[in-house]
Amino acid sequence: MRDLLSGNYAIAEAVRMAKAQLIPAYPITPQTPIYERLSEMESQGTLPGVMVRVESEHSAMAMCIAASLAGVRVFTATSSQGLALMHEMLHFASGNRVPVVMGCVNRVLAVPWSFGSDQTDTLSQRDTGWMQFYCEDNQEAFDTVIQAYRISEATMLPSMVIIDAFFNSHFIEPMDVPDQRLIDLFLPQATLPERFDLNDPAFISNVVTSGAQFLPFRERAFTDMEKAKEIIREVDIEYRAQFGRGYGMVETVQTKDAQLVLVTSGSMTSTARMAIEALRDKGLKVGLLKIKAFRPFPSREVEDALQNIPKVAVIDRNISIGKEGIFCQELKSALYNSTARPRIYGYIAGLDGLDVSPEIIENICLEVLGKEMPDNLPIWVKGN
Amino acid sequence: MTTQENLRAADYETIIPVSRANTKVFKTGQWSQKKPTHHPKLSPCREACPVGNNIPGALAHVSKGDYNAALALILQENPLPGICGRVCYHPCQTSCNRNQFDETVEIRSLERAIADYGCATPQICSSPTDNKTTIAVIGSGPAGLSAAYFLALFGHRVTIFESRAEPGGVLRYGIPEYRLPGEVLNREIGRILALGIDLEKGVRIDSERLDDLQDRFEYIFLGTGAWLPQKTGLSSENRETIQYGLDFLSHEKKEIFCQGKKNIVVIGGGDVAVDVARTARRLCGPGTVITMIAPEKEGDFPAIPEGLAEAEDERIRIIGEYQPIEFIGNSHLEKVRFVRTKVEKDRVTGRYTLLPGDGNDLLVDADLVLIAIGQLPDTGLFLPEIVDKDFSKVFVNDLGMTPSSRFYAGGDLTRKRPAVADAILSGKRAALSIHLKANGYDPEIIIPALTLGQGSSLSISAYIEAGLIDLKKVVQFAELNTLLYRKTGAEHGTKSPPETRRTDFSEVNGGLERKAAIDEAKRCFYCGSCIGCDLCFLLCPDISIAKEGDRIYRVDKDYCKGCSICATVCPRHVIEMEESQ
Repeated sequence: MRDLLSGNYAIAEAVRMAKAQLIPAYPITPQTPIYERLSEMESQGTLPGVMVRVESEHSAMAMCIAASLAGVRVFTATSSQGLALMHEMLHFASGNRVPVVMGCVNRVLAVPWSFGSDQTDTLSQRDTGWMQFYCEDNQEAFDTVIQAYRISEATMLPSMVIIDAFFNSHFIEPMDVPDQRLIDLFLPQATLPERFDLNDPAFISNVVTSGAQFLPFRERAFTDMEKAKEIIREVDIEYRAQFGRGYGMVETVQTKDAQLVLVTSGSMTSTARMAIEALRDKGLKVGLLKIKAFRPFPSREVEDALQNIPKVAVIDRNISIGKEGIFCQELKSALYNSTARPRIYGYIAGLDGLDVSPEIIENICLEVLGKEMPDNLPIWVKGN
Repeated sequence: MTTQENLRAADYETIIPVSRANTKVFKTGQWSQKKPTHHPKLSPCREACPVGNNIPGALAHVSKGDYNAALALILQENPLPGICGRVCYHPCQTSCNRNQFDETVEIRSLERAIADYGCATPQICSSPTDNKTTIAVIGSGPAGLSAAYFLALFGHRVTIFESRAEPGGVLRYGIPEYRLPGEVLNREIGRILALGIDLEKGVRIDSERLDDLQDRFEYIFLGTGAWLPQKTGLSSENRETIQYGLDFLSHEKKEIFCQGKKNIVVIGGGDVAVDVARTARRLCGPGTVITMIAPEKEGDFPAIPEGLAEAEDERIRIIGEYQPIEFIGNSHLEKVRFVRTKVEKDRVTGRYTLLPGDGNDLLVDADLVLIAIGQLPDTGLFLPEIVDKDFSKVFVNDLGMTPSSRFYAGGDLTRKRPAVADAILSGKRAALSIHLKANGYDPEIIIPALTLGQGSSLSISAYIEAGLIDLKKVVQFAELNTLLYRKTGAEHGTKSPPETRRTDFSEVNGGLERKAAIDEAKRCFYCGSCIGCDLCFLLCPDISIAKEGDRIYRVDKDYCKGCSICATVCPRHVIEMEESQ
């Protein structure tokens, strides 16, 4: 069925259709409409699950962990400060290997206090052991929530499904909402292990001995995250077969002959697609690499796409103060051992929801094409 | 799908840490040296109480409205709670830790309430295997009654010999009805006699009878009191218009002495003097001027302050720092001359001496003088070796025994503090000594172990339930957790209005109503006594305090990390931290 939905509503719709059984959540701009929409569904009797209003994001995640350990499919959503507050429990979730799916709407972290999009909130959670999927548009957000349940429940690792504040969360787009029957076929009822057994009580999150016990658990989580790459690919292929849409961990656009490949994530990728077209029309050999999966990081895909390309320009809507844009760092480290690695040019653009227009992207590409060597520090793009 | 299926099949418990054992393997208690000990301790009120009443224990019962249990507990230490609850000088209230918080708990009023509202039978303390002996108790005042009571509870055969028509001694013939009604006295003496004690009334012991008693009884307890008046040494004392304290109070004709008198002067500042003055007030007309004059400073009189205040309410003038030097008048007494004086206490002997003070003489109109400056025992009857002639008293050691080993003595005969509670203590001490001796135990070891704190009183219940309370540790105010208490004023009983008291011998103090007494008992800190509040049990962060019964808590030293939260939070300092072995 075709529908007009904002990114937040698209996620809420996917959660309903995924039949999440428990949704503990706490409102925060710009994620609040997800919460509101799910509450509305609950009051109308169309939500298969139960919402719980908790006292904080920390508690929301604690409740998700406990319920998930007891075999319940759960969902929560948050942004920015809420995610920061949740940080401690994010480690508990991944350490307890609970397949929680969380909607994250990127918003700047205070201070200064503001509301626009900035990926630093989710990228700050890079090392919490969660999978992270950055979505380009509302359709992808919907599809990724459905896929994320499959991926998380197969890997027993939690997932963040991430969209940009306002560009995705509040902008309404036409999209396809599949039949519930088809969703049910793709994503059956959760069959999670039920660990809550009164007759065989157990303590989870117990103290372990440092060498013999701690290390194997971490190593196991690491290898399972590596295996997740294969599962992500399989699930995506299956989804494409069923619904006609797939995304891959990365997507390449006209990279084969490119002199310059632009690397983007999230909503600015749509703009970049247009900018690439315009530059091609001018005869410039420019391509695009969209990174969707950030954790696990698609090193092989990135290497395949970018080795032998002379130049790469990365636009980051985030900043790691003291280094550079975070996608840029990750790209560099992924390519370092390649035999023919490109020169990588880092740009910081669109912080706090500033528009990254086609002109900005074209200008970046032109600048990089005319520049022999990259700067050591990222270049800050401050507007048209 | 293959990868997904493989992962699904995995044993989930290999990917997250799960413990189906428990953390009891970690004996975290070994990390610390300090451990809490839950051991009841002595309250300062109990240390100060000559009778050794378990005040916090009894008040805990009252706070729950259980007067019977409270009385049963009190009767373990005190045979005369209804009397002490009315006439005691209550040193317990002076040392009450609540004084440092708001004001003392009205312990004396509560003892009275317990005695008046409770119903209990004294518990026999003897075992069938104990040796039983025979004791003659001479005198049925508080010392004799106390000795007889505890000896009977230990299972011995006791006979009391009383020279007067009725038992009670100074309680009946010295303390007036408005302070101690006869029915209370009869009730309490009745409870003692009901233990199977024989009473021979109207039997005055002379030397011949004393010899006879030595044949009939194994031990003799002397509790004949101090009935001879201390005299001023001034001339003209032998007029009919000069009477002496206890003689006057017990005199059949005291009403006649008072009739028609305009100016009565009472000399002395003790409780007997106050009773003499207040009795005179009730026997003479309302226009009579009654003046009480003593050598001590006003405010420092030896009498109980409440009694003095009641006397003032009854329009008795009180003048301090004078002593009489002359009774003026020919056939009839007209005036008494007083000189300024001051009292000095000898730091070594504790005796008081009167020294000349600064100021003019005082001439007071008087047609009746009532002298109550002290009482002396009549020791003429007793064996010379047990009598201290210089101080006209009977010698006793710390065990209540006289130099003659079959003779024990107590009360005013031994010239200790002349108070009912101290007399009860002396009788209790002698009874315990006799019991221990009769059973071949060494009282010199056992009695000090039963002594409460640094005081002089003894606990019989500690003898029965050895070790239950640490009798040597007295809980100080600073050791309490007063955060658990609210400041509240004390409950006071009613008093009859002064106008009606001037002609009436009915009891002045109405005591506490049942409900008010319960409220007042709830004010008690219960210093050193566990009342089962469970705070230690509930607040232990390591769940290392186990509750094993009513007011029984056990510290699990394997897991107690010695954080001392239980000791800090205990409102009563029952728990304290100690080095662990």
